[in-house]
Amino acid sequence: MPDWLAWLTYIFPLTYAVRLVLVYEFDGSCDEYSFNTCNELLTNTDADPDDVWWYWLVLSAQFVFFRLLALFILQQKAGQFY
Amino acid sequence: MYEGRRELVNEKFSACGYPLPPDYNPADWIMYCAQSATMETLEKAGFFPVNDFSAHGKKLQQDNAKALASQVSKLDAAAPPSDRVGFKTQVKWLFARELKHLKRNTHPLRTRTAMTVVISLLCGVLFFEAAKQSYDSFINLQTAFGALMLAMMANMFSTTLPALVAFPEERPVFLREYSAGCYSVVAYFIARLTMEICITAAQVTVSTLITYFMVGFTQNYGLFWLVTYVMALASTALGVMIGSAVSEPSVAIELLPAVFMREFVESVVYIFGLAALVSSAEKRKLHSANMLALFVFLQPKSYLRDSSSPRKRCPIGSLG
Repeated sequence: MPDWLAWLTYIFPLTYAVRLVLVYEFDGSCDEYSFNTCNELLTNTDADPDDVWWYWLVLSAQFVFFRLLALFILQQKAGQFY
Repeated sequence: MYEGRRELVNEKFSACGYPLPPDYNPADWIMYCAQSATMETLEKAGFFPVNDFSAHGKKLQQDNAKALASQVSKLDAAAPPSDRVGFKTQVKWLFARELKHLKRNTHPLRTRTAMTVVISLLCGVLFFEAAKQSYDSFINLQTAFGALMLAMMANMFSTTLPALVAFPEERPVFLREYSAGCYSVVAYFIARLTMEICITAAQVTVSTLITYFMVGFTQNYGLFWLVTYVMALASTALGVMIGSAVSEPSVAIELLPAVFMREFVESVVYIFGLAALVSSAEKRKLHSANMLALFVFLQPKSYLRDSSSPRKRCPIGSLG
């Protein structure tokens, strides 16, 4: 993925949702093991247990933002006809 | 010009060379034809067959005209002049229509349910009890990660696609009704949103129930459901945004690879990697990993190799 398209990652809800489920699935059990892959997986996906509130916020904000934008576009386009 | 049942409008008008366009209100079409074509053209087209009414027929016509006139004058006296019904009424009726659509046209709903169940079952079978093993081993960890990714992606696609296509599909009807002043954009939007919120909740519940308990994730089910639901809603919002920006359903579908491609390619690369890993690890899992590789291979490759005709072999479209 070229750098100039990297920002796309941040507008996809899936990015934040996957981080959330990863934190919920692995975070509690990560420290039990000496093997470090568990923590590595969280690091590689940028899933930080401390940022959970932020992921939730972004997800909800995306829902509101895209919906409002869709409403705006729809209103603009509907006014263009007739 | 026309007298008869609504269902037969198209038959008569097609015969005269003015077939009813799709998604068009028959009464509107009659008015349109009557206003846009000249009297001579309409006569030539055969809209006014020469009838010699019998005496009985004539009397019946006159009676009808009288009855109609008295009804109209009564209505005029009774109804107060108002341009538009209230916002609540608009939403209520639009939502009622959405419900009727759902009941009458069950095909999209059935496809949606079937696809959700099939993909979730696939995810559950391929990663059966994968998360129940200790995360101490790298392979188990990777497998659980794969299961989570697949479960989330299945939810994303199966909820977003129908929403993406719905707006452009309804566009002709929406534009005509909106321009006729039937309702405001906000009312239409809220009615659709309410419907989508309900359907998405049901869909996510079915999907998460299957994947969660088959794969055996250790996290809290309620949280898992909530993350999936909020993600599905946010993706649907993104889909609706694109859907309302384009005018043709096919354009929306063709835009889709550009929007979702990134995540798809990434997961393909990941799942192939997983397949290689697992195949070297265990014989039993080799089988399921191959099945998964095959499934993923069938899905996105046609986009990668031949992007010029994505509609003909639209694998993602079939997910919806």
